[in-house]
Amino acid sequence: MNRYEDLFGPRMFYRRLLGLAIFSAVVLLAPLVVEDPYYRELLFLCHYYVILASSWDLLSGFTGNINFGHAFFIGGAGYTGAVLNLNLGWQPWLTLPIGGITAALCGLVVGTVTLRLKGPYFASVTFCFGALLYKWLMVSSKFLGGEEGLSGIVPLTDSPLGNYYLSGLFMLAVVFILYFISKSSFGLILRSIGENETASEGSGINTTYYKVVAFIISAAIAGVAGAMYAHAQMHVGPEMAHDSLSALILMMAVVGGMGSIIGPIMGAYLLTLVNETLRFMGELRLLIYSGAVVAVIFFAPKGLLEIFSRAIRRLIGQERGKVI
Amino acid sequence: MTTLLSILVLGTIWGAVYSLIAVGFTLIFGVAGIINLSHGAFYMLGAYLAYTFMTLLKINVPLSAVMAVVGVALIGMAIDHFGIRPMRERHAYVLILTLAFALFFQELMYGIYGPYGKPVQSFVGGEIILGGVHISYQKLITLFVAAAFVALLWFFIKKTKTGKSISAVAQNKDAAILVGIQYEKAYRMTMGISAALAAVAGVFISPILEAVPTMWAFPLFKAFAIVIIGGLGSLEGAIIASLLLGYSETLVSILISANYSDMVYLIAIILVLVLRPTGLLSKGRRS
Amino acid sequence: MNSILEIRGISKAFGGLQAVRNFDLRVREKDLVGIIGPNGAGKTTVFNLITGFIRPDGGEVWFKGENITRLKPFQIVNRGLCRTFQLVDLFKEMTALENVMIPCFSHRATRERPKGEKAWRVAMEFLEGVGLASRFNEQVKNLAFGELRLLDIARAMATQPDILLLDEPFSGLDVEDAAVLSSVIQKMHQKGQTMIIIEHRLRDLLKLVESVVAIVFGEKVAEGTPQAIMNNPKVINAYLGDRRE
Repeated sequence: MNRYEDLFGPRMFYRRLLGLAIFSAVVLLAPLVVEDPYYRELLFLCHYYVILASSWDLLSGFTGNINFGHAFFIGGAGYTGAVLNLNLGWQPWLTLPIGGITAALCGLVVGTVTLRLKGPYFASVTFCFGALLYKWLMVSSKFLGGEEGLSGIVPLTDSPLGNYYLSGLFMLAVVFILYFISKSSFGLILRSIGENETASEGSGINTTYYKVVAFIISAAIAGVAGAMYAHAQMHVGPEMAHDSLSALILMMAVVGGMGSIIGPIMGAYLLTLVNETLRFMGELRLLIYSGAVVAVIFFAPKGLLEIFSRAIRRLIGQERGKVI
Repeated sequence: MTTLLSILVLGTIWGAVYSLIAVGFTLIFGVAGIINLSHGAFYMLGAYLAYTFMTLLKINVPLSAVMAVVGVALIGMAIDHFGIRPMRERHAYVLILTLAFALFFQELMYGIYGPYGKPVQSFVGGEIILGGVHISYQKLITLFVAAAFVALLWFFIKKTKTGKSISAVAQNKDAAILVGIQYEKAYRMTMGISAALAAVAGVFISPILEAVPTMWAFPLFKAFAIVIIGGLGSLEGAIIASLLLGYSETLVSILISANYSDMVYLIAIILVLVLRPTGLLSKGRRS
Repeated sequence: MNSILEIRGISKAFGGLQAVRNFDLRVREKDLVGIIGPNGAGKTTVFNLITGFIRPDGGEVWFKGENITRLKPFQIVNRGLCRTFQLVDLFKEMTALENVMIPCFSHRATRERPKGEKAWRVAMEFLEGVGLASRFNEQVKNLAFGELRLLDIARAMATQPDILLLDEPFSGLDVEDAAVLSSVIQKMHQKGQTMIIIEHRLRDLLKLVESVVAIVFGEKVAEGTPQAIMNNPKVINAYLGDRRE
């Protein structure tokens, strides 16, 4: 890996493409092996969380501006889609993009006024937006369903298999896009902001602009995902905007490895499956999560991806540098 | 007229309680530069310990209160020493770590005490009626205790040697080291003090609000709002902002609906951060 | 006088301390100006004021005929004024090449780059310019101190500056590294790069620069050729007791 053509030339590109192709193949072919609808639904959930965690990672993992209110976009778009469907009869092919656009617009507004704030302040404001939406939904009238939420939404597709493939294709599209963004100059700039925002500014980068754009992309993807989930569950409730959802997504990204897109994918799969299997444990689950997050921070701060990369590196005999 | 009086009285009481929680929170930020997301958990632990000692073990009130507060202070210092100290420089990780601790305590309470609210007997029964407004003695005691402790803290920080050395660390850690102040000790003591204050609030509020495992969240967020409004690290700011929040919430609660009073602090945070990020009351410089 | 940079009477106070008082300076194209002064004299503060990191209490900064006093740092960089930092401020987890690529993506550098030219190739050229081409794939945290200084200069140069500000580039360098840095600066000067250099190590500085400004307690006390400055009584006075040359 000593020539710079290697880093930027076709070899690395094809290696990455291969990795994603393998992943896509697994995702697309899995239902041949997995026939039980319960597991197909579970994998649908995995797809959903992968989309949420990786979209979160684009802003927060790369620039270090931790977004504590990702659920704001998820719940907001979910309800938007639900309302449009229940009142105007709009179908998923329309409500999902509208959900995304609404979320993107909110991201633009919220981002422009908040992203000039430093880390903890940005985190607080995003949290507040999420909490405000949640509280407002809880006390809302029949139109938004209050605590119970809204039911009777048109289903996403007509079977768990359909849901699996729709969400899977969406997930793969998101992963491809986000991954290649992360390896592009845009991604490099975002990382520089996260590393050392002052140095980035001092190098002539308009950091607020890049943060806002990342935020909008992040929000839009989460919005589409929220609308998708609303149709899949045929129900929306205030819990879709709750801070525990934001926290869960955050944990998935942290455990998997922030700032890499691939890490959150791993984290999302892992924690969703863990979530399900530990369901019988009730409240203890959250305890295990918190324990896991603390353990990861202390022993593997860069997340599972770091461990995974090290293993691959040993396998192919590469000493340092990037693996994927 | 009674409405106005209600707002004033209740607002002051809640303001005082909030200030107990907020001054500890702002102290930790001012001294150690960290936002301690497990601060609300100290409040919760205070309440649960009060329940355990007073209701379950039937120990008398004063002794229970002291044990609860001291216990929480020790827990706070342990968290600082074992959890935060190794990670001090990485603010993002400290945030996530303290949040994880808070969740851990929540789950611990779920595990030990279950999800239902745990009641604690009022320390003193009865109420007085002032100008048509009913005020329980418990609330009155809470007000006085809160005011007393905040005043004590003020005195400690501004007038005593130890307090001033803590203040010195807050202002300039490197200079403080040069004059021989041990900043690690200052951090730990600050953590203990702030945890103790939050616990006091928890102990005295426990007869008014039941102890539930999720009760760590709202005091944390309100403390956060208060500290942002009043200016991070500013003791005076925290006290004033606490009262402001107490009055605003009571106002909204009585005039509009109790449902919306919990949104006041959220809107306050957003407005302050967007419009005047250094806080309404601080002098305009931010770390 | 066609000065490209005009600093007009800027002042800055921090609390009770007047860090910079009524500082004036005119720099023309291709100039190589040195700024000297004892520790804490306010030299770095002047840089911070010019580059938008701090706002002056009074006075103005004019660059290429435009008032840049109130602009943000990234805007000033994009107008052609770039600085390095005394405590090297780089992207530690990134490689040397990536560090130099970031400024290549600034608005200004992107404009100046010929169409179709890849950013990483341009960045490599800058690395070659300071002699770090072989270390391109090394993470910054693994680089030697002297290399960090050179990298910072490469990074600043990648913004295609009209004026380059160097803040104590020689501090902490050993004799060899200082010689390398010296020749790099001389090469840039020969190519016509306008520069202002703050330096505490007088011997290294005075060999390079054409004119010198001395600051003591935030005020300019002398300006002239290196010869004149070294014989100036006020300057000598300020350095008495501080016999590090």
